[in-house]
Amino acid sequence: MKTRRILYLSFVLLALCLWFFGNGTGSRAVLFSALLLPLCPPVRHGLFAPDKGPALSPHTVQAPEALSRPEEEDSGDVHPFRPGDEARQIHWKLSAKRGTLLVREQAPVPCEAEESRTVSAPLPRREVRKRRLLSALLAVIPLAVLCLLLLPAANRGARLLFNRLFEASEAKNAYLYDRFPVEGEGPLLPAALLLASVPGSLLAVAVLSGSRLPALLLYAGCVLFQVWFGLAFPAWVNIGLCGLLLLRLLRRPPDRRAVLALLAVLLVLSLLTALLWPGTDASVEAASEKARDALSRMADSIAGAFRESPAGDTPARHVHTRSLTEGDAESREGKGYRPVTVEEEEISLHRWADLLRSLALLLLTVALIVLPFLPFLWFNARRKKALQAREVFRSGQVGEAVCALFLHTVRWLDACGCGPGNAPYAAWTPKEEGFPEGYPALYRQCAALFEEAAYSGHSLGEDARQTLLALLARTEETLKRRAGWKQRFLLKYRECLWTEDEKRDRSSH
Amino acid sequence: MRPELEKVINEIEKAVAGKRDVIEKILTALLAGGHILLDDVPGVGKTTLAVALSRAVGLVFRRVQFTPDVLPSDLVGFSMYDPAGNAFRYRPGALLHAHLVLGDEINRASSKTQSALLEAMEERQVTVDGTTYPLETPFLVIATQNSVGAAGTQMLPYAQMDRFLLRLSLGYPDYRAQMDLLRARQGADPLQEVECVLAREALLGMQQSVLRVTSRDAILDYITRLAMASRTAEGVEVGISPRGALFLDRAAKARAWMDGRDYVTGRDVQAVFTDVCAHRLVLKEGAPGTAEEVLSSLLGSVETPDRRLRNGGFLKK
Repeated sequence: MKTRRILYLSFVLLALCLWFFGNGTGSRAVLFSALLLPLCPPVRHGLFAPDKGPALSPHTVQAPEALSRPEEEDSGDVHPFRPGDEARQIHWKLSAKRGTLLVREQAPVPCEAEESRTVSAPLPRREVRKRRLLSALLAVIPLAVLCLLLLPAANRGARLLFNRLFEASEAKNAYLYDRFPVEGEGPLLPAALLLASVPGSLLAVAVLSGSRLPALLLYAGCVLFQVWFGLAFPAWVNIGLCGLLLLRLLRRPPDRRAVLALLAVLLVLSLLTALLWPGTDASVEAASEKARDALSRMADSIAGAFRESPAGDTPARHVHTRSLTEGDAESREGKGYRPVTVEEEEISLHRWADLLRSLALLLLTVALIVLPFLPFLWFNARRKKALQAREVFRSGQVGEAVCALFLHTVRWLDACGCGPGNAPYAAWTPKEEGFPEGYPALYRQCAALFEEAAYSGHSLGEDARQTLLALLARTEETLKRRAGWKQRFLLKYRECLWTEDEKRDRSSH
Repeated sequence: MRPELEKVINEIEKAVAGKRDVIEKILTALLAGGHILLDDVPGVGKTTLAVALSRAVGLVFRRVQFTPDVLPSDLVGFSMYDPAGNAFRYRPGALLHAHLVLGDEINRASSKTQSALLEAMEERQVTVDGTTYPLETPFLVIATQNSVGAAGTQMLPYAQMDRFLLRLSLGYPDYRAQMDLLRARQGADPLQEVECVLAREALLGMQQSVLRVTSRDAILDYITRLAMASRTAEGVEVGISPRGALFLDRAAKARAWMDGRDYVTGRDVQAVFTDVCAHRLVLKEGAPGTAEEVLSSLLGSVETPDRRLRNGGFLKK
């Protein structure tokens, strides 16, 4: 499979070089190289390997390392004695001659067992049929492309189809031209079938094989198609295709949910944009179209390829003669444009769009004004909540106060990184340096009081509250002394562990 | 540790030195009213420990050596026809009239005998020929299982191991302990020096007190979360059953009471967790690690009730 991959890659590289450095024939060579796709067994290895399913690459029998060592002895098949070699393999005669121990090479044992184990169970028939189907589908693509290129009827039909497609996308512009030069008419249906078979088979391969590359190719093809032609599918088509591709690429359900949410947001945004985007006035559009057309007519007349067609009862038809491909000037009967009538201007949709637009602008202004104050509002709300929570310290129920005080102390310790984490609080002792003498004993005492308050129905006395207040004071003092200014800032504003007026209150208590 | 229990432990330590934690756990099981499974190599002092305990607490001790031909009737008793009285008379079995029963090598007994023992353990009474005979109170069974030489035996299935409160292991003593052991046996048999320091009625009173120890919602929530986490832990096929959770609660209560408190805390649950739950886990085949490792990782990962309180849960009752 390695040689196949190399072959494959080298052909692709060759084709790309020809395209860049050669002329038009290079593009055909690129397409010819696609012929090689079905020659490589597509579904088993390499780019088309399915994501799930057993890996059936057979082991190649690895010969023992000794055989491939470059520094082995030349004479016959002996090598110097290595620890681990068997004593009965020693070639005594040669060793006596050479003066060092030499060991006979061992013939490589054919690993029959391994081979039979992995070359394995024959594939189930369903799997074999599926692979054959996939190879057939993949073979359809280059065949269809070849037909389109070489058969003149199909070629003509394809070009006509592309021209029609292009017209349809450019219909709102007055400036229409034929994308591809085509002589005469031809049957459209065979070309349409051939053209549809390419993405169709790619889609079928993507769905059947469970591999991700065809989905990628499909999406890349759609994007390149749009870019090359200069036309654009509507936004929702592109977003939908992108979503399908991502769904195919992502495997785990949480990712998919996230992607679906993202897509929903994108769709809503595109809808809003479509509604709110300052649309253009139709009459302004028509006027600019008129101007553009006049300019092109002037340019054509200067170039000498312009020819007025006789005017009928319809507004003047303008004929464009230049096609954008090979550069040959051919006279063409183009489609005309008609100016927008006054009635069409008065579509009420524009009024709604205006209203919504001004509302959106108002909201945006308000949001921008409020934005700088948001951090302060948020901090204030948190501070109030924290202060309210700490009201409990003074509550009549000593048990509640004791619990709250101890938990606040633990919050302090955790915030400074020397806290108990997920251990039971009474079974932990503060081990950091910097804590004053007697702090661990006080902590243990308070932890026991906390447990009593939290887990039993006993009522505690005032002295319990005083002990806890003492612990809190000492903790705050030690940790504030230890912490740098940055940590103090975080403690005050992010964790809301202390405020200025609270400190005053407590010291006056 | 309550002083009366300290005395008991010190007495037992005269006979079995250096195994203080095992003695504490056995006392926990005794107070909680559960039974013990001793999984051990032979000759480490299981019988000595059981005898010492029975002497220290004034309980009647009986030892049953299980062999493959022990019948259930040997345990629960049977009715024998008495021609003189012209009626059937009940002859009590090994389980009757004993407080502390040491069942040696339960894995050598037949399945029928094993289930007879386990049923009696569960119900604390035996029924023979329609008549029910209650077992003594307090009733403690210490069953031993020998992992060595287990060929041809019926290792206790997991469903039956679930019925034991604790699984303990004595293990070999270290150098000092072995030296002390040999030195102690140079003179009189130390087992004779163990005296009764706790009356049986006092023990019954203690068991009642243990039942009255309170477990708040926060602790019950912790136990439930531990049990549920064990069922979905990786590498675990079968986790802690609801019976296991109940036993965990009881053992934690006993532990808390032994510590001198009448309320259970997270510390108590963590202290008894491994011993109560290690034999209830069934690990998946090929899963790395032992049950103890899985349990200790659970202890680290499941939120303790203290931390839950800190994060705002269970603040009111």
